[in-house]
Amino acid sequence: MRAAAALICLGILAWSAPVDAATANSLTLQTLPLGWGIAELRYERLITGPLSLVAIGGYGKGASWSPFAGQSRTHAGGQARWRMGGDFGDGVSLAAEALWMWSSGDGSYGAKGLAIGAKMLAKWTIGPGFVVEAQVGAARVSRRAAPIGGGKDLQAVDWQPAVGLGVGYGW
Amino acid sequence: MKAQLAVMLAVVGCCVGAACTYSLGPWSDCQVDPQSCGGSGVDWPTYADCTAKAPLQFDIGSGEKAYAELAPGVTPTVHFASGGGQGFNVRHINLGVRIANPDPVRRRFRVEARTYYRSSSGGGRFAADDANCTPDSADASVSEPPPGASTPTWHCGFGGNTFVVDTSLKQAADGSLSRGGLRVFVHDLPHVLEVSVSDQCGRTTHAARTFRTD
Repeated sequence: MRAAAALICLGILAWSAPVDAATANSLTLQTLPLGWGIAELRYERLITGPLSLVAIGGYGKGASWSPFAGQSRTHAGGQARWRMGGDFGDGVSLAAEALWMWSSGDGSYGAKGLAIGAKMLAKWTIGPGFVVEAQVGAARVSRRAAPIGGGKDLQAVDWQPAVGLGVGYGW
Repeated sequence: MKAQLAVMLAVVGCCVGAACTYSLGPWSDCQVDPQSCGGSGVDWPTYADCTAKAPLQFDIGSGEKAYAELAPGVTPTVHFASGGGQGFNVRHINLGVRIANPDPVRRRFRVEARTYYRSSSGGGRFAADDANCTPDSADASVSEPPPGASTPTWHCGFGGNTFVVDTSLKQAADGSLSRGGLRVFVHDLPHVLEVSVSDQCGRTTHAARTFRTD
C-alpha cells in the first residue's frame, strides 16, 4: 500500500514537472531479470537540470533455475537520479533507489522486503530514440518471510549487489 | 563512450556476482531451522499449551530436498558425496519424514536416526563403533543369523544423526508436515534404520525400516 502510494506520488511529480528539453522521458525494459522470468519496466522523467525521477515496477514468476524458483514476485519503487555528466539522453548518473518487494514464496514462505541503495548508471541513446542503460550498485535489503501454514517469521538484513541492463525508448 | 561505459558497468556487475534484482530469499533450511544441518545443543523444553489430540505419527521416506515416499522394498540411495565432514568410508543417505497430527502451535520436531548393521564376525569395518547395541525393531528375516554364524551380531552406525526441524517443514493439504534432505551419515546401506520423532508436547514416536537381510 505504501509502495503503491509512493509510486503514484512519484509518477505525478515526474509528470507535472516543467521541462524544457528535447528528450525528457524514457521507458526501458530490464533485460537481465527476464532470464529469471521477471519483467521489470522503468519510466524516467527529467525533472530539471541534472535531476530526474524514475518509477520502477516489476512482476513475474521465478524460473526454475533462478534464485526465485517457484516464487511469484512483485516489486515497485523509484529512483532519484543526479546526472554527473552528459545530458538526459547520453549521460552518467548516480542514483538513490528504494524498492518494495513482495513474494508469494516457494510454497513454504511468503516474503516481503525493502531495498534502499545506490547505483551508478550510464545511459546511451542510439539513433531515433533507442535507449540503452546499464547500472551497477548495491542496496541494504531488509526482508521478512512468514512461513505458510504457521511458524515464526524469519528476518534478515544484508547488503546485496545488483546489476541492470535496460533497453527501451526515449522521447 | 557511453556505450563502452554501459558495457563496462554490466561486466563489472557480473564480475562481482551481482544479481539482476534484489533477493527476498530463498531461505535455506540451514538458516531457518536450528539443527537441520548438523550441530547440537538445542534446548528441548516441553509445553503445556498443546492441543493436539490424535497420536503423533510419521512415515520414513527419502528425498534430497522435498520428502519423497519410500515404497516397501525400495532402498534409499547411498551417496558418496565429499564435503560436509565426510571422509573415507563415510557416506550418507537422505532421510525424509512426513509427520501426521502435529500440534497446531508447537511445530518443532526432533528427528533422531539410528542405523544398524549386522555382521557375523563382530569386527572389521564396524569395530570402531559401538558393538553393544541391537535394533529394537529388526524384523524376523533380518534377525536370523547370517550363514555360518550362530547368532547375529549387531553394530551401531555413526552417531550424531539428530536433527531439529521447524520452519523448513512443508505443510500438505491434509495438515501433515514433511521435509527431505536430512543427511544421515552411514558406512553403507544399513540393515536397519530406526527413526524417532519427538515434539515439544512431550510426544515421541518411532518407526523403522529394514533395507537389507543379508
